[in-house]
Parts: sequence; C-alpha cells; structure tokens
Amino acid sequence: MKNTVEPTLVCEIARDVLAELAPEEMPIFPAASRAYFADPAAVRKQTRSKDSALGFGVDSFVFLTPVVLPVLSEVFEFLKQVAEKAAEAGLAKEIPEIVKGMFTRFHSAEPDTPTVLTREQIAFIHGNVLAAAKRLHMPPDKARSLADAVTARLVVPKG
Amino acid sequence: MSDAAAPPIRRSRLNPFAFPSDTTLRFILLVIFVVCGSGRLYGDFREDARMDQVASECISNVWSHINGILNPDTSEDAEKIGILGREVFSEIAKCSEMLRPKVWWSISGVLLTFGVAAVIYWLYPAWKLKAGGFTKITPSELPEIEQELRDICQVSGIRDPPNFVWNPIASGLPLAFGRSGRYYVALTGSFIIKYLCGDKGTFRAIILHELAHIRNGDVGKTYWVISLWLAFLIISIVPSLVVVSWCLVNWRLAYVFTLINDNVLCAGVILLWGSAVLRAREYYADVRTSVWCGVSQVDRALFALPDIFPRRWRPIF
Repeated sequence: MKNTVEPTLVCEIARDVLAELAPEEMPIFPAASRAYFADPAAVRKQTRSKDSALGFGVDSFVFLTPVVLPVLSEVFEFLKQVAEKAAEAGLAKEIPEIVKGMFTRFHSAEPDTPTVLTREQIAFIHGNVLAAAKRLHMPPDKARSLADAVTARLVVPKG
Repeated sequence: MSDAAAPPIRRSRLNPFAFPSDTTLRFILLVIFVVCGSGRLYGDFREDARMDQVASECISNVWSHINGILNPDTSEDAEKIGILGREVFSEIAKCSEMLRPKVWWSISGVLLTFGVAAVIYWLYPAWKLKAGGFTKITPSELPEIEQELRDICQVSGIRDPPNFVWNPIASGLPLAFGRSGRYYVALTGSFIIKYLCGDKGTFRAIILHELAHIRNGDVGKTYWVISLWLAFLIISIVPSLVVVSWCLVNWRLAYVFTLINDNVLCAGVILLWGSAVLRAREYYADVRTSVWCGVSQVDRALFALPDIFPRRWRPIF
C-alpha cells in the first residue's frame, strides 16, 4: 500500500498507541519514526535480522514500533479514502482536517460536530489492523491489543 | 552506567590463547579445501578423453624407461643409463605438456574463486550497512547509549574501537562485521530497548562478546568464510551443474558421475568446514568475554597469576 498520508499525524497517533502499549519504546521513537518514513518499504525486511547465525543469537523480543508505524500508515490510507467521500458529500473542505477529526484526540468537543466513521468502518479497521499485525509477525495477543488501542482512538458515532 | 565507568581491570586466567586458536587452524584448512575443491572441479571441466589417453600412454612409456634404468639387463644397458636418463627427461617434458591445459584450468578456477571471494569480502560491509539501514549512533540521538558503549570499549581495552551503528526499527541481537581496520558493531532498536532499558549487565556482556570477536580477529575470518562459500558456489558449483546438465543431455553418464561425485564431496567439505570455523570462533569469543567480565570464581582465583603473553606473533592467530 502506498504511503501518502501525513507522517506527522501518523507519528502523533503512533506515539499515543506506544505510550499505552509499550512505553519502554518511547526513547527511540523519534529515531525509529524518522527511519521508517525515510524508507517505509524497508521495515518488512528489517524487522527480523537474517544474520542471527553470525551475531550473538536469536532474539525473541516483541518490538512494537516497527509494527505500529506501518499498520497506522495503512489505517490512514483507508481513512483518507473515507475522508475523500465525506469531502465530496460536503461534510468538510480539507481532507487532512476530516482525517484528523476522526480521532478523539483532535475531534471537536462540540456536541453537533459530525462523526464521519461508521461502526462498520471501525470494525473493518480493527480487522485490518489485526491482519496487518499478523503479516508483520506480531503475536496474536499483542496484535489484538494493538487493534483495540488503534480503534479506541477513533471517534465512535453516537447512538 | 556508573559500573561501566569503573577503571578496567586486567584479569588473567589460564591462557586459552596459548596456541593458535581452532578458528585460525580451521580457517586455514578451509582455504586449503577451497583451493583443492575449485582446482579439482575446474580440472574436471577440461575433460578431453583423447588427450587423456595419449597422456596416459606417455606416462606408461616414461615408466617403462625408468624401469629400464633401474633394472639394467646387461652391462651394456648400464652404460646406456645416461642416454636413457636424457630420454626420460624429454618424455617427462612431453607428458607435462599434455597435462598442462588441465593444470591451467585448475589454476584459473582457484584464482577465479579467490578473486570473486575477495570482491565479495571487500564489498560486504558497504552492502551490509546499506541493506540493514544502519546509521552511526550519534551522542545527540542516544547520549546514554553512546557513553555506555564508550565505557564498554574501555573495559575491553580494544585500541581501535569499532564504529557503532544502529537501525532503530530493526529487531535482533548485535552483529560485528566489517573488514580489517574498519569494523562495525550493528545494534537494533529492539536490543537497545530490551537490554539497555532493562538488563544492563546482559547488554554489556553481549557487546563485549561482539568486541571479543573483533579482538580475536574473527570478523575478517567470518566474512572470508562467507565470501569463500559464495564464491565457491557461484564460480565452481553453478558451472559444474550447467556442465552436468549438458552432459546428461548428451548421455555422457560416466563424466556426469565424476562431476556429481566431486561436487557433492567438495561442497560438503567446504560447507561443513566453514561452519566449523564459525562455531569455533564463538567459543573463543565467550572465553575472551569471560576474561573481560571477570565474574566467575575461577577468574577471581586466577587473577593473581602473572600475565605471560602476548608475543609478537600472537595477533596473527
């Protein structure tokens, strides 16, 4: 999937998710996000070292940062498509603003602010995060926590 | 952090480096096996049944002459020894000429294999840095880690510390690589998170293990092993398989059998012996690390023993 989303926004949400799920990874997050956005395609190659036989050994540590960034990039691609449709329907003018408004962190507190995402779309995002995390070799329990943490940050429609 | 800043302590122990290490001896044997293997396979490529038959007749002719010299029937024969000797030398020269093309093929195969291995060895560090997405660890990025690594280098006493590089989005444990005079120790984001923010003692031991590989001269040998493996595969095995396929099509089964036999044996010996080199170096790196860490009771007891090496030839091994 092409990465055309705003890196700053992905970083902000990723930072939130990591602060909840893996706060110990925060010290290297700035460097990790820079490395990821410099070459997003490389993350799949680099998440597992192929030289374990030549190095000290094999590591079983579950490292969340290189999973959260690509997973959220994919989520943002989907959100962008939803935002484009919303813009066509005249809900708002700027697509990045619509995408930002889909997150509780940026969503306006005013009660009449419209919600763009439906419950079905949030469930779809949850499933996609699970699938993407699995693709990136994340253990099932961690993948579920990640999917829950990501969808918990989306604005749920009222009613 | 404060522990690592303590002044380095030289701890002696029963000297495991008194003799050339298994790593070095196995590496030398691997080089010999690659010379033999590539020479043998390229010798096989220069297969000429007619010429081989002529050469074999020539050799048997030489032997009959030599028998004539060694077992003279009469005194007259003995007088002719000098003349026969000259004839034998001329015959030997003729036989050698027939065998020369095969020898040239063998020498070319050996040179080509080592040439390609040298290119792979030379280019590997640059490729590894690029493919692994490694960048130098800067003090501004990770000040704590930079200081810790400097302290660990001080403990190891390595005169020319390696370049520490990292990839913050990669997983896995550290790896030392590079070539003589330009070594790197590559760290990953997961390693830094797991150990530096958690078990610092293990972090130090693992980094010391990698530095021990550099101190023991293992890094060069390791990547020569990898380069020789790859070069042997590309230069000797792949062409052999092409020749085998071609001979199978032409139904030359005897030659196919010779080639497959030589391929399997040479590849097997070279692969296993290379693995033996890689295995042996781990043992010596652990021994070196235990010397530096100095945590066991044995180390404490041996601390009082005098330091009886190094000698000038020691670093070679």
